Amino acid sequence: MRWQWLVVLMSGVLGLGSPVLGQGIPSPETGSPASGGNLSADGNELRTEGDWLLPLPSSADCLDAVPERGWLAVGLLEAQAVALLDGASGDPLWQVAVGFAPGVVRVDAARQVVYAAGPHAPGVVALDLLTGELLQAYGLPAGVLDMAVDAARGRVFASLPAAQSLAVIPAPNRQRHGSEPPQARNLPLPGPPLALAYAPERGSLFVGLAGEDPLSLLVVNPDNGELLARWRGGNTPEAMVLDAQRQRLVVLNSGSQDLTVLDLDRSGEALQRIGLDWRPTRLALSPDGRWAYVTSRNSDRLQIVDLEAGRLAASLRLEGQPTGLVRLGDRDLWVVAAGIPALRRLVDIEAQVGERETEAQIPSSGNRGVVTGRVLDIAGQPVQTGVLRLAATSTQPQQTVRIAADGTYVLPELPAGLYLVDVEVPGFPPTSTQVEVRAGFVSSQDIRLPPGQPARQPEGIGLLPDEPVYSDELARHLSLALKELQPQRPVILLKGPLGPDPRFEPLLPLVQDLTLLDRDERYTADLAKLKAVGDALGLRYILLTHLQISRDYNRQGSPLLNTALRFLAPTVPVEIPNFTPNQLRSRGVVVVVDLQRDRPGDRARYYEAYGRDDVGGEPLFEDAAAGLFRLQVRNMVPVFIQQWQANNPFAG
Amino acid sequence: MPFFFLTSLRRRVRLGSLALWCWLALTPGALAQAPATPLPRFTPLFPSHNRDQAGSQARLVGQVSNSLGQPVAGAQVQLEGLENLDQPIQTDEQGAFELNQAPAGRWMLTVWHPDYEIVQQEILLQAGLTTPVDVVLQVPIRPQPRRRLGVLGVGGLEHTQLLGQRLALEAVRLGLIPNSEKVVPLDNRRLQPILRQVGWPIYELFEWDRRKPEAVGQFFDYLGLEAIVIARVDVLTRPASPTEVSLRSRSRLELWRFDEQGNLVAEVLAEASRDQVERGNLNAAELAQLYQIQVTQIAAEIGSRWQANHPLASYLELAPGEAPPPPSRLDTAVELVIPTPTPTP
Repeated sequence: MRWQWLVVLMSGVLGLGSPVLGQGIPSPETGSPASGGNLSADGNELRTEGDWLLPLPSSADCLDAVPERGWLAVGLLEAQAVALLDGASGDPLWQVAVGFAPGVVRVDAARQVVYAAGPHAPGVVALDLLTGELLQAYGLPAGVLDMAVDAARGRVFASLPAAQSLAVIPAPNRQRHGSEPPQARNLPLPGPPLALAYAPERGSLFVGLAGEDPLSLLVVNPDNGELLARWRGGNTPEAMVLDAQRQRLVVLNSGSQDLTVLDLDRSGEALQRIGLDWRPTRLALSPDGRWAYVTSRNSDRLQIVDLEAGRLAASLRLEGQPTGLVRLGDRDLWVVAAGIPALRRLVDIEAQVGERETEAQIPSSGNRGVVTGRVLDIAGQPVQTGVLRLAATSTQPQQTVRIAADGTYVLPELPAGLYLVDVEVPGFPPTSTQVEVRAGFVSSQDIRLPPGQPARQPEGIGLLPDEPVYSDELARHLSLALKELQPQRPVILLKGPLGPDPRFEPLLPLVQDLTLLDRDERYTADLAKLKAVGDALGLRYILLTHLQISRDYNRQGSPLLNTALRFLAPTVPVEIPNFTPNQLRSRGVVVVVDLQRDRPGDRARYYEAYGRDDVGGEPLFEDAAAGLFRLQVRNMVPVFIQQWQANNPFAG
Repeated sequence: MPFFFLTSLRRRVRLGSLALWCWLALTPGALAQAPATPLPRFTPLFPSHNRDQAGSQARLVGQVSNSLGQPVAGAQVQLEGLENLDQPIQTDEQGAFELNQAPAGRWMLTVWHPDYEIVQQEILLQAGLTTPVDVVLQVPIRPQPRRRLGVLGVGGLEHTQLLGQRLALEAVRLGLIPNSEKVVPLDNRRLQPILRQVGWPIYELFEWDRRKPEAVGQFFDYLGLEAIVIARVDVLTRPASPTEVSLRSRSRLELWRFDEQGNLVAEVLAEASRDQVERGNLNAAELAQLYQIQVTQIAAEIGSRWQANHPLASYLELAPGEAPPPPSRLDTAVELVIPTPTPTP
């Protein structure tokens, strides 16, 4: 059964695509060649001149080219198959089901093998390029994110982020009756690998590592797994392409939203760092290595980067969200978009944007950028005054920038790079922070200051529960009662059953894993964390609530009563059972921390209240018991208030 | 058969696949309503950096999304003080917008969409540079007309809440509460902003013994609910013998509504329970699984009881001539309409 191909005039149909739901969607299978010819009467002209839309049986994510023959290998996601197409005519050569969604497809044209793997399938399959016949399947410890082919030695490398390792897979053995089939080897890596590129002349493999580490590019000897070097790539290098002709490596960083061009001859020195407008996903280079085509995440933009000029030349809008793309021949760029079961051919893109560009100069601010942002205290409130001092570099003297009254700052236009900034704000310890200037962009970066001196005399009371479920209820009820008991003080429920207070939310990480009391019930050094919270929110006291519960079910009656009964009426063999066998006990503890007076090592002041319920009948279900415990918590509040009225802890 | 002459017979399928959204966006089925002039192949967004303009004009690019990260199309973007622009900037279907040749300086950027809260943000535009902006729009909490039937799982503890939510979803999935225009399954993870507004945690808002008509009324208003079906599951795990453990669960579906006098009425629609003895060495995950299976069985049992006499019939059908209630941005289910092609004569 052959596919039924339909060639559709792009401008006639695709341009009308509309996001409105509920419109008729044709399924690709329904098209027939006859009607297709009817629609695009001069289809042959189109095949040579215009852009194409080539329907596929299902959507695809990745494609690879066989440039010598003009073929395209496509991984079909929903169909769980790999297909080979003729790029010139659009005819399918073969389609083979592989049993998983092939997210990565790579072609070894020299050995005539197509490798396919997917992020959710722990393995790689090798198919024959000419027939699609399965040559061998390799088992791997995890799913594959990217592959790179070593055509000279017939190997393929696969990155396994979940296993933090790299698989080296030898080419399949075509002799059926030979010795046992070759197996994949695993090389451990220091982090989850993302993109791969192989430089055959050097015999080294470049691996992009996930994470924030700026030294994100590994140079690995794939023969023995030896780490040769760590180069400066960028944040989250998700794709990379080797420009063998010029010995350059183009790395696409989706985290820092830029392209880094590294010089292989000068041990990975960064030649350029080109900022992109939209968060990038995949990358392809033009054959002459001048243009880079970059698809964007959750966006329909195809970004075209002029690597010679070192800047983004244009961003074109395509339909759908393009993901995979590949250059085939001198003019064609083939693109697949997420969820769209079709391949698109774009012809001579750079001719549209490029020719006028060739004589255009790089703007004067080509390598410069601006950083702006706000200076915030620990609670996320902007500071009112202060200065930033930009450290002197070899090219410029030290500069001073004032912080505006709304906390914003603007650094002067600077050459791209990392700069050290000293922040001096009255009431805060002097701090240094790094800011990154991106070429051609106004980047926004907020500076968060460490805890400083409180601007005002803290007066308020904050309530902070420890682990849920019931301590947050106790804090909530207490906060309502405290508002009446201490009307002159602001009361903040820092964290309640409805989530943290918005003022407290930026401070939440401070109180994570808080160990306030040691086993002698003395304050530990963690008191400083509470002090920081109190200073930021203007709190004099912080009340920590804690609740212990226990449930028991015991039908045995009172032993004293039963002994007495046996003594009084020894002939009657009766035991009086417990008529209320469900025993629910709770103990609420409130630690009152005076942030002004208490020091680490001081004995903590705490207040206790108890709850007790005995319920008859069958064992209580869990939710029903929870309701009773909540009631006990509510009834503890008057007990605490009474203790505080007798001995006021908020008198300081 | 030419695929864009096919009329669409619509079949409703609930799928959460973003990919299909994109597919829908591409649909060429709109040929019937095609504009007279075909759109250009693609539009270069900043086709050329003219030498004289590159140095003096700033660029602004941005992405507008909602709190779930979905792009917001058709949001109006405006720089304060630049109202004399010929046409307002609107975000495209991917939520992106661009403004080339903007005047440099500090500007207040306003992003507005009828379904979301307005957002204002100060931005800096510098000549010759690009300013990227990411704007997140929040769903506003506003009263809506009470026209729909909500379905919500409620529990006082984390695991009973999860089981209640499971019962609510199973009730919809198994058709006890048919998935019509009027029914809205609620996700209690996304109700937090509304509960903050109402001021009660969910288990206290729908407490059977202490009813809070005002708070429940507010809750109904914000979600546009006429009535709500509350699904509760309570469990008890106890040793049945030294080597065995008994798993008991009881489930209840309640209907909460306001009668003609405006009084809050809560009634029990159905109750069912399960008791099961299992080997004693179960871990927490296995326990949770077994309880989930019990909840599914209970939902099926209630469904078979309701075959003959459905207690919710009056809420499920639209009155004759009544238009379906408008969808709310707070709904959790993503509704997709996948048309089935039918041959044209």
